[in-house]
Amino acid sequence: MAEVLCPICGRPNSDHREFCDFCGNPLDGALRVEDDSSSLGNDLLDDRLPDSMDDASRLDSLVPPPEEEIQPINLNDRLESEPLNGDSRLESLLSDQDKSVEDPSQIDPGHTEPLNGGSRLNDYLPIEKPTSDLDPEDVGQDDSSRLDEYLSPEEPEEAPSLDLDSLSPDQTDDSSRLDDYLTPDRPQEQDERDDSVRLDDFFEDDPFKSPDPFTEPSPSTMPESDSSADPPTPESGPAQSDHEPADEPLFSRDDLLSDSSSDQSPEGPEFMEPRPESEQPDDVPAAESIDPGQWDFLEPTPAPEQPGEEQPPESIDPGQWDFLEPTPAPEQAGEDKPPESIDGGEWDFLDPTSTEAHLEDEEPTSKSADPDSTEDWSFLDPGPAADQPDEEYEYSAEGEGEDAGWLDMLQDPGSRQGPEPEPDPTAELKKPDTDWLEKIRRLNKSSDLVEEDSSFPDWLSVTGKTAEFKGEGTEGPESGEEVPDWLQLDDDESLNEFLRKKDLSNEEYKPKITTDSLDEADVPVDKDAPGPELSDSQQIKFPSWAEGEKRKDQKRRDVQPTPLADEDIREPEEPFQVEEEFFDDLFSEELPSWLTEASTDEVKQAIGEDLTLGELPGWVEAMRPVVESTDASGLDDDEDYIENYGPLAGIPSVLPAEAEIGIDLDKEVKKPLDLLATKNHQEFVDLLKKIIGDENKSKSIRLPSPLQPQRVLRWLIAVIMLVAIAGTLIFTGSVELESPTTAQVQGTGFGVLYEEIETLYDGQPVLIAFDHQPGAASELHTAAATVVDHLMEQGTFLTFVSTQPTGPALAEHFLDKTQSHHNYIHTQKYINLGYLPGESAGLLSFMIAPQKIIPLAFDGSNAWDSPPLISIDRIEDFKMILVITDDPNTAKIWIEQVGSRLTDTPLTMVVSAQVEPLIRPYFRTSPRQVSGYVAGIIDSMNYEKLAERPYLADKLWLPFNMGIVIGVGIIFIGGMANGVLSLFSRRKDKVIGESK
Amino acid sequence: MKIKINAPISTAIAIGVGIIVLAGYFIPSMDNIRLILLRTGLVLAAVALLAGIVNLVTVHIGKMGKESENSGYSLILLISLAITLIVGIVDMVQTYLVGRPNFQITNWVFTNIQLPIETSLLAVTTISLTYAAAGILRKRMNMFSISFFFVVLLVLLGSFSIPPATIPFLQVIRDWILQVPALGGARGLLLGIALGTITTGIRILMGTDRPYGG
Repeated sequence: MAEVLCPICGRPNSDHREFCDFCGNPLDGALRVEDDSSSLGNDLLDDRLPDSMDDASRLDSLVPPPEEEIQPINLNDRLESEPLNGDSRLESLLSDQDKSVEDPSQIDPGHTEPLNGGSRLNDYLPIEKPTSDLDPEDVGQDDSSRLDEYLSPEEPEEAPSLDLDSLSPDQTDDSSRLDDYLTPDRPQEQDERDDSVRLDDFFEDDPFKSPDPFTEPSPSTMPESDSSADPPTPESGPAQSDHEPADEPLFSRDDLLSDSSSDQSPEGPEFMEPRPESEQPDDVPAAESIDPGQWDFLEPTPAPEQPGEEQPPESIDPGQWDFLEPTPAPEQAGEDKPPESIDGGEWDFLDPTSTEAHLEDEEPTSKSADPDSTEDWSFLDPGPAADQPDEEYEYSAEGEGEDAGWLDMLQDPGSRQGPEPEPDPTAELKKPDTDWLEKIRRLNKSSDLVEEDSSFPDWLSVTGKTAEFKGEGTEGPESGEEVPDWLQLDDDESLNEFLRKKDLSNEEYKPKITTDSLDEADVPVDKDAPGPELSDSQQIKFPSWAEGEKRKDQKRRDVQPTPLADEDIREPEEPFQVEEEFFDDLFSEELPSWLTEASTDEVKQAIGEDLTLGELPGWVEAMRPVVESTDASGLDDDEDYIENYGPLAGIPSVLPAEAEIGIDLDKEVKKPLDLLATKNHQEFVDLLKKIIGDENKSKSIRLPSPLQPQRVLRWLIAVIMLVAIAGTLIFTGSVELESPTTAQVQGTGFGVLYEEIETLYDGQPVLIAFDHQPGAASELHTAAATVVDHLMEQGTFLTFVSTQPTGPALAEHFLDKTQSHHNYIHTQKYINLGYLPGESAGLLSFMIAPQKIIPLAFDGSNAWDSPPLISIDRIEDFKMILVITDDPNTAKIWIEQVGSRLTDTPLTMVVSAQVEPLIRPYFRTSPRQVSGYVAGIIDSMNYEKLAERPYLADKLWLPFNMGIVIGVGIIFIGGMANGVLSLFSRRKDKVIGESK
Repeated sequence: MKIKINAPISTAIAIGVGIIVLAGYFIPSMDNIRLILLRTGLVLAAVALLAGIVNLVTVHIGKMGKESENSGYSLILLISLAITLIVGIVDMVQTYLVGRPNFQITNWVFTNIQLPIETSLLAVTTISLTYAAAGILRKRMNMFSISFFFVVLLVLLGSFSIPPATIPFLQVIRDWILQVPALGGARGLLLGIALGTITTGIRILMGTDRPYGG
């Protein structure tokens, strides 16, 4: 008798029922289960379960958990300790149809063709594709449209158009339930199709589908193959659709044993030897028409991923998938009585509660071999066994192309098995996996929102629950036989419950969620809502902060007994709904409801009423530009204007930033000034005006007197003086003067000098410095001639030195011109030491060490070899120093540098008349710094008179006096004349000034 | 900022030498050190004379290159310098090679060229001063100019001494002017010069005044 499994609650119903007796959900498309095929459950429990986890997972979603039929069967003898993957759930799904099969002999030998989970899934997948051809308008109202956002628009077009009739309700329901994880609020009917299409897009690259014509049957061929290849079974009811051979036995014994080892069954050779594909249609009955390749997943190798591309098309028997047809079998008349052929234990994997119960009874692998033990079915529990496949899958995924974790979740669990015993199948597996992942990536790329929102992949993620089962799995004896956690998720009753509720109350449930999703308090907590049954894929949508709490709840659910778990798990439904709504808001361009409500006037008004007017702080108030004016313009009396713009706007008395161009300064100046000016002020003003006015006037400059008269006058003066002096010299002789008296000589310079020279005697060294310029030679030579003559008369040894470059020559000239009659010979009577550089420094050094400073004489001879100079070591060794100079500074240097260090040596001088005023003070000191001096012709004349040796001074005395007279006459006459003229000119100017 | 390295060095040298030479006036034992420094100074002064000659030549060569009115004078100066230098070198060669100290050519040049020229210049100065003294009352008729004018006349007239035209009163006035006001003025001037010299010496010793540059 055939049964129809409710796609919502998963409970079996009679195949003639259109609605589920348990949940009331329509059974269209529900899974139809044959009693005869229940024996195939053992086949499904083959220890060589393939890794086609994706197919199994999808099938799990399609098959509701038969809670009432949980009765484990003794199929563990066919199981090995090999870890189970997600496909085990598929096998468990299939095994519930042949629950009564405990002995391999009971299996229909006609099922020699191995069932491949992938192939069976391929029946779903191509069937789901035609849903993509549905009118988008029909789908547009679907809540699962969010999944369409993930899908590229080209996907439905690329999918081959399938006949809608070929779609079984179960198939669509399966996919829709997956979508229900995402969109619980979508319309029910449309979701069933749309979701399936989109899921097909996801699994388009599934290895079970792509290359295999069986896995990708065309919409047109699929029903045909079902009808042709699969002989109708007597259980098949008339209500079945054309394309679903519901009466066909799902699994045969051969199918189950075809891929199993020979050790597990005495009929192993029959199972292990798949019949030639060409013989299948003939040999295999309708129920046994399953392609053996379809059962590759039962092999320990990842068979399900292989056959998708490698299985020949001949080995595919679409009719084998008729068991998935929702058409209720005629044998399933009553729902209260489960079919006998179905062992309730086979459906443990669909019932979380039974799974929990089995978890506690898990035993080691050796124990699971007991065919009678219900714990044998514990391997179907996805919980503890889910870790291993995940790990393996991750390994393979990384090897593929570093897929994201969430993408890995979507991949075929079978591909997670890393170390494959057969490298070739593994390599083949990667490609479809990769394509499948690329599919997802492409879908993701089609929507940036998906890239940004990590919650998209999370709905398929099962990590949370996996982690929980991982701990339990380690305790279980079958920890090695780990089943992927996603299997456990799909088996979770909460999921089925959710799906059932979803299908029932979609229309009523949706609006509440969409409108009140943000307000958790307002969200109606529907006890019937599938909240507690939420799978981890749904729970993962919770924010990270809530994930921990969710895990706790999940763990608590796992620990608590099954009956209590339903109520407890329903609690977290609300966050899921809220998150889903928030997810919708993210992809919607419209403002969310809570924002639109907040922007309403009522809200604004309410906010405005609550707010109180603020008060400016004092300092801010002080900064405000306050305009207090008395007139209408807003200006005070002392304010010009108020700034109109800029940062200073509103502030009065601000200097304008604009340049005041065009202001007439004249007009501004002419403004009357209210000044109180007195007469004095007015006079000052007038004076200032006059001064300023005079500055602007040009001054008339008097022309200087012509140069020619000046030159004539100069020449006239020169001629007069020349004529007078020359005439005096020429035409007049010497003048007989009286000798000066003793009183006149005492105390005079020439008198003292005379006495000093008188003290000298023959041979005493006398230093004579010729420090005068050649221009003063006439005067000085006349004045010095008598003195030097006197020295020569005294027989002194004369040593000439000069601080002037011309001094040595002047000395020679002096001796040659004035003292030639003495016949003084160089180095014998005198020595000319030459030039002494350095002025004061030279004199100082010469004073300290004369021989060292000037070692050679003027002519290069040894100056200090003369007998008078041998004893000369210092300047003080000279008996007298006579300085002939016309420069008062030079005389001063000699006095200061030499005279101050002389103790017994007199410092005498013969100076010009102009130097006498400066020498006299040194002579008037006591002791005398200058022992005696002769100044000019007058002292020289006095000295000659004193010495009674008339000489040059006497000769020059009359011309000298004549020159003085002429000079005085010229100065006086000229001065008087100029003075008178000056007085006249001044008077004239004064008269002119007064007249003006 | 440009830092002159020679400034502190030259300043230190000047200060050190000045202090040593000054200390030599009071410490006889430092005469040797002072003498060394003074002899070095004399050599440097002689070299400075040569440097002055080179500078003179350079300046006047530069003036000759320019189209100025005094370029002829510069040429005469350079020619005279060259002739005098050659004459002096010849006399030096004769003196040191022949051993006869006779600078006849040099003396001839000095006696017949340099001495009359400079003496004539002084004579021209006498005429100029006479002319200036005669015209002082026309340029500026004030107390100082009038005093200057009459003092000049009194001193000149007091110098006049030709008997019987000699006026003894004028000689007394002249002697009084020379011994009292002139002597007083000269002493004051000398004291001022002495104070100035001391101040300059202190400034140089302290490095405040650096006539040597730096």
